[in-house]
Amino acid sequence: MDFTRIVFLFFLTWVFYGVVRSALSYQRKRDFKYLLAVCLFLLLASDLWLRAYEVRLQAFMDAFRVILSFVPVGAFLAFNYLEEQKLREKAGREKVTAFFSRYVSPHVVKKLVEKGRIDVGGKRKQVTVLFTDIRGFTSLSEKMQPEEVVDFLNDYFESSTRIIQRRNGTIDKFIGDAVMAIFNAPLETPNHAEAAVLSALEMQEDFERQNAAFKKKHPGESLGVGIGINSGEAVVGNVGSKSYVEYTCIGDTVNTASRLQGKAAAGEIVVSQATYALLPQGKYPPARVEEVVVKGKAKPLKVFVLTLKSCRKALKALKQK
Amino acid sequence: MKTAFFSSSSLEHLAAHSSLALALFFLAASAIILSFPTDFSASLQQALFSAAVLFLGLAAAAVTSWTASRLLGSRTAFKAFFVPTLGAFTASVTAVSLPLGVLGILVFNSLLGDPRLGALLFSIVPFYNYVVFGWACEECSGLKHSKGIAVGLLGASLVLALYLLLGVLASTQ
Repeated sequence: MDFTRIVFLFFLTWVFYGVVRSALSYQRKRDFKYLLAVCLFLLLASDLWLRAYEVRLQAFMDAFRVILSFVPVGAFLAFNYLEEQKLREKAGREKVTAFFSRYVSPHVVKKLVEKGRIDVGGKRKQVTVLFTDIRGFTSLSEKMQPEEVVDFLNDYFESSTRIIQRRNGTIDKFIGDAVMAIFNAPLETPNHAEAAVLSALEMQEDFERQNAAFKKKHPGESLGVGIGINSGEAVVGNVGSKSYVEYTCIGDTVNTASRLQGKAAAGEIVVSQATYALLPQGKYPPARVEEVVVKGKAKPLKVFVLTLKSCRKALKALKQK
Repeated sequence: MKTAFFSSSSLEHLAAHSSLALALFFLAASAIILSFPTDFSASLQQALFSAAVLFLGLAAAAVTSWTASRLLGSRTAFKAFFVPTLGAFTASVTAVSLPLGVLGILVFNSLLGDPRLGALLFSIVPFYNYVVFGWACEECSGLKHSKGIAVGLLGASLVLALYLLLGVLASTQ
């Protein structure tokens, strides 16, 4: 065997390796450039292979005719297989999304399933952050049976989640009896401030129903929700370690929203000036406008206190829609 | 068998269950299948000689690939590299070479009466074996990008070199 032929065989091996390597990369990443590489390597490989073995064109054509007769059957089987695989993949994705949506926001799960991996890190984004807290619940829960507390909270979280997710919001976390939600991340929501305010109003309305049921069981006791909303830039993304990550939102915008929630009395929604400026003018009249001093801020903040009563018109219009 | 069709999870499974006995089994199986005489004109002595060369050559190819991968920065233990790479090669020989060899002989030689086409089909099979071995080396090394590809190409080339050596030895005997 001469040296040229040996070199040729090594080259042919590397080209075949290129075919397989590109095909495997395409299978993993679904990137078109790998498919192109497969085609190019295949062309090169077939050309080299035929040259290496000095096969006459006629012999090749004879074999090709036999192979061609199987093409329709092969194509049908391949098509069927690909379709089945697509359906299986889709079903698998839906199963994963449905399962993990109970732990993480469905928007986040959907994004992760689409991406196929979790990148730790975040990016700056304009968001609206909403914080809620049940006033007086901690002290009252001491008088209640633990099962009753859990039932009440589950009912409250269930309705809050439904309301927030309906307006494309993302539940960031439940902290005791408090809820933290983000709007405009990961799902783009152009009217994120209004979506947050509407969610807050609906949550207040829904809590009235829950409170009525609670009063029947505990005469003389009453509960209410205080909500704080703020808009601004924050870092949104996956924060944590390689083995445990949390999709969350970090920044001064979040801290301020939390502080505003602390200023809201039962039944009130305290909205920052930044959020209120993003709302359609005059659509959500405040019950009062005031300046509040919050921890970590040197200057008092101008806030707009909304209530069900002050925004009844907006809620009515929403229901008619 | 899935390793013959580039299943990474099967390769990981082999790495997790690697043992000396399994490595010897893979080496022996590959050597016996590949040195099996196809035209029965070769003597038993020749077949045994080829089997011995294959046995040692394959082991040497795996050891060399592992050494190269370690030099390039791989942290894979020898056992976790040696057994899966040989397992993948044996699987490709058993699941691809054998059936295609039979198909080549039956369909082209007997039915179509043109042995050239059988030879043409069968000539591509060894390349599949080289590529499977190379791919297994790349996967087991755990190296990414160009370093991983270098280990894969080296593995494939070493098995090709072994086949060429075997051809030279057979012609000189």
